[in-house]
Amino acid sequence: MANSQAFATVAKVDALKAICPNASTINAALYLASATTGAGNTVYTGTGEVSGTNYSAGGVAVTHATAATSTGTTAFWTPSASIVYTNVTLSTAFDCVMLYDVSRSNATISTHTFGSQTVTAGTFTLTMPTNDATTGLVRIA
Amino acid sequence: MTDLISTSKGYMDEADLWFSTGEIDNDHEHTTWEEWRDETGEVVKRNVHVRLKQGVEMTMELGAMG
Repeated sequence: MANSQAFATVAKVDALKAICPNASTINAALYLASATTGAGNTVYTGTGEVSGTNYSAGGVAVTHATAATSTGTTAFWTPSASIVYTNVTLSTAFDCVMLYDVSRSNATISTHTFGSQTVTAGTFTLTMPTNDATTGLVRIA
Repeated sequence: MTDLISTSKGYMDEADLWFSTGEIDNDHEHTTWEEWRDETGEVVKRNVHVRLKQGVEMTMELGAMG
């Protein structure tokens, strides 16, 4: 087998562990469909964030009991539980969630979009994809 | 027997409300919702469940030496 040029898989895992540290408090904030939240956001922002009954600015804490790991040459990380906003009323359409690290000065980790929704006196549940190298929420290939 | 549910107008008898469900299913998400409307057609309760199917992926690239 010949030598190969590669970014070490363990380095990818280490990078993800630095971006999504197990010890950190990670929050999930929701954004209006009219907002422009995305890769350009370096830290959590209240601009374009939803507001409504029982929704607190900054969103809710994310459960992330499983550290980043790898399969093959892809590192991946996924929160270990669904993100749930209970008994909220969010009347203006929203379609994006931002995960950010409260423990690292609110540094943005990732943003994820979905079909535009509203919630009325109800529960909004965001269930994570399967935590693997193909579908994990955040991956480095 | 009366089944009261919490709505935007307080607790209401579920039997007096119109109930419907819907879903979106594509490569990116499977989303379901359930909603209750009162006699005026106003949505007084709506739950949404989004199941993401795919996260985001970044690729690392190496430069060439020499």
